[in-house]
Amino acid sequence: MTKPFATVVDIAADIASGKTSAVEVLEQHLARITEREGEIHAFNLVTTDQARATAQQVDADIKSGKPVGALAGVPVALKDNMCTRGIETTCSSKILEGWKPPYDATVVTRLQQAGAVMVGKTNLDEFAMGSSTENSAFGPTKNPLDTSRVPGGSSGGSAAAVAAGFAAASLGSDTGGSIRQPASLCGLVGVKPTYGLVSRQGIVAFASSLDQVGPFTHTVADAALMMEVIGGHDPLDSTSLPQPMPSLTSVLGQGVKGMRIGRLADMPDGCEPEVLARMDAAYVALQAAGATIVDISLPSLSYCLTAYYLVAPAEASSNLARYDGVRYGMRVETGDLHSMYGATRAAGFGAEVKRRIMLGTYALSAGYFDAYYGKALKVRRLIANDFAAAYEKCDVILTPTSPTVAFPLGDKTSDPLTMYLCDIFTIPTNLAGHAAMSVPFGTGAHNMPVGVQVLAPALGEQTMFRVAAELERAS
Amino acid sequence: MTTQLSGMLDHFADIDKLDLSNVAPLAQPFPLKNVFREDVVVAGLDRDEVLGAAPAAEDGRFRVPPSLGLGEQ
Repeated sequence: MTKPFATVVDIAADIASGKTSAVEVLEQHLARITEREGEIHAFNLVTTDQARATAQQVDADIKSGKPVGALAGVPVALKDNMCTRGIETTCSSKILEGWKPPYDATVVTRLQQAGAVMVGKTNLDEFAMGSSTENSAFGPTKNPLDTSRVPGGSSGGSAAAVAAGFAAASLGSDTGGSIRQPASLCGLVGVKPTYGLVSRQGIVAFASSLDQVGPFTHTVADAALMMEVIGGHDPLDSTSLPQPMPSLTSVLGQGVKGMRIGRLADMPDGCEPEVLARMDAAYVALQAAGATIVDISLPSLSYCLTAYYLVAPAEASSNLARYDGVRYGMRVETGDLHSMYGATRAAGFGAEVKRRIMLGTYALSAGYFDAYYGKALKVRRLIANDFAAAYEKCDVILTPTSPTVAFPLGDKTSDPLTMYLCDIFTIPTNLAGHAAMSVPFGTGAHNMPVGVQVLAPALGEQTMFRVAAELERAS
Repeated sequence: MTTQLSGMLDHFADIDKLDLSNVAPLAQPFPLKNVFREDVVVAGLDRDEVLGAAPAAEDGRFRVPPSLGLGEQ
């Protein structure tokens, strides 16, 4: 399938070879931002001046023969929950509006070292809590493929920025599907790496045992390159795995011959028929490429939603306690310290964030801990055991990324539970700490893109990318 | 919001039917133990930059409203 915009790989090669310049590439992307950002609202902030300065520096380095990084001159966008030194980082929340972090997240430093040009900070559901980017305090992001529809969430701005050609790639964070689901809804590749493979240092914490950073790109090769730049051990993150980053760009051509592809025997209800039809086509394509299809079951799958919506809010209620009007962001002045805390949090947090803080605090409270949080952690073990049993029989598992294509704005905002069901296929990976990615695989209802999700065991990224590359060739 | 929260808690009761008596909790996918970085001196954050991002600071510290006494009429 031809892609609408230049890829990361092509841009980097053309700039390095002198075929084009970083400034020229940047101006093309800035022009598209000027043209369409008004209707899409992918960004909380466009960093035009810094981007121009970086692009000029890249061009000067290339001209003077200095060695440049793998992403030299490639325009990238960052989800606005990633700390950027001296550049506003809001998490799309009023409570952090205007806050300029005193340091860069490790992934930001690695992108900079590779020569990437940051074009802006992208919109998200407040503190990454949501599946449609409608929970942003600064207004929703629209899907560039149909602006009456959501881009997915919570990294909806990062997905929209790439889908609209505002950036060649972007970074998002995925706690329960927040990279893969918007990638699926916007027709992009989106990767949730194995927990600990990419540093979380400098990513504003939502649910620390689930959060991972990963890329949005147009192609699987672009995603592989982005992963190689951002991945690998970081001494500043105590949950960072000690393993070196495996090579992904080198395995893309290896095919899937002899691979065992897991197919869910007990598919949950609620999938659109067109989505299921694309799944069937994906199995046929992989079979034609020499893989075997194996039926597997994940008996605890239907309980994942409950486990996730207890574990994630519990961790969030603890992580978000730091927004108390003392060290960063907004403060509502009152007469004394304790009422200042309450007034600041009441004014600063939006409805969904408050809902999850209350839910999490309740699940952790004395008397309810065993009934809710304690049980949720046990269900988490069950799903990890289910995966372990399934991966005895297969190398990867294929599921839809999202049960539906992108839905209209406002469609699911009145009932939080309906919105939570968007994450049914993506949540299990986060609970287990495994790798997963969404690959665009044709279109479904309303001619909107459908994403196929490739799930792999922990540190199974090489296998996962081989399957993703095969699906891309077949789509 | 009360109705929404009780609706969620009702839904979450689905795990009550599972027998979890012999299941060990899983709080973190890959527990790493004794994680230390190399013991070398590195630059810390710039104090003025950190305090500059706070709502109020004074004499090199975060400034907060009184926690005792004042405000109680």
